[in-house]
Amino acid sequence: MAVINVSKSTTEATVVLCDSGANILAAANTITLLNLTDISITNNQGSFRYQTLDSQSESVVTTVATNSVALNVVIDETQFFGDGSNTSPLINNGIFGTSNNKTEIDFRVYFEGTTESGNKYLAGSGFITGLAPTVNPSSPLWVTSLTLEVNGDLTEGDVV
Amino acid sequence: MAIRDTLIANVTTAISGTGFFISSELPWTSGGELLYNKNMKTIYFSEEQKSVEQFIQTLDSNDVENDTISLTAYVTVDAKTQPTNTSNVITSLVSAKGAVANVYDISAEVTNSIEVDKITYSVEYVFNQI
Repeated sequence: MAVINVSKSTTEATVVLCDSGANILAAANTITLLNLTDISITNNQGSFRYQTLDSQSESVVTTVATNSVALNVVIDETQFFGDGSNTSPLINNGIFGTSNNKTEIDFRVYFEGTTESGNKYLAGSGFITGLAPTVNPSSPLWVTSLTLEVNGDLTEGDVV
Repeated sequence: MAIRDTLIANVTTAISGTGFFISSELPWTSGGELLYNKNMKTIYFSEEQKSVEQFIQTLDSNDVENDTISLTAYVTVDAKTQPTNTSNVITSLVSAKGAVANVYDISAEVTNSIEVDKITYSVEYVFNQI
């Protein structure tokens, strides 16, 4: 058993976005998000509680889950606005365009980087929402939150 | 050093005709006396000091760093009979901070000290740069 340490250069927590259905291991259809400041994954199982006369406590069963990934990034201009000249819709339109167009994408959240075999990732499909770019004079860099609303399950995988 | 050069150039223009002067030399010590005490009504700028700190830490090590650059301008005048335009010159020194480009969160603090019959004005500038 070991803690998950992301402080090494080969084990940095990484989020990769990909055109829906494309090869997420190929750079041609992916954006590896730059300048991430934090990642938060929510796998919130719904619950239904009920009471019975033969029990002093509530019983519970789980229902459908709500999954999402919340990120904060320092905005990279090309990634945010797209390069405007790519066959990949994601790279062409960028994060803002993909959100604005409500285009579904695939993604992976690599817990310890993308290079060391056996390290874990969570994957899914969903939509980019929650963009809130902000800047102020005392913090003169555009930063934004970004939420991936997951369509369906989060799945676990291993880096190959 | 770029900021020091910019300040010197700006102040040189601003104090033209005031009877004050500006030196490009650092305020070193000559014969046991600081140059700005020895040469009154002459402005000297210290060397820049710089500290670098993490401004935003990122998970992919593309950390954004903030440079804090500070330097001080010194000018000494007669404390018994101050030149009448001393306050205007000090104002010009403070205003010079606006001439430095590509910085944010700028400050300038004016202090003074009297020794015997001389008063020395110090203007400390602090600039932040990403």
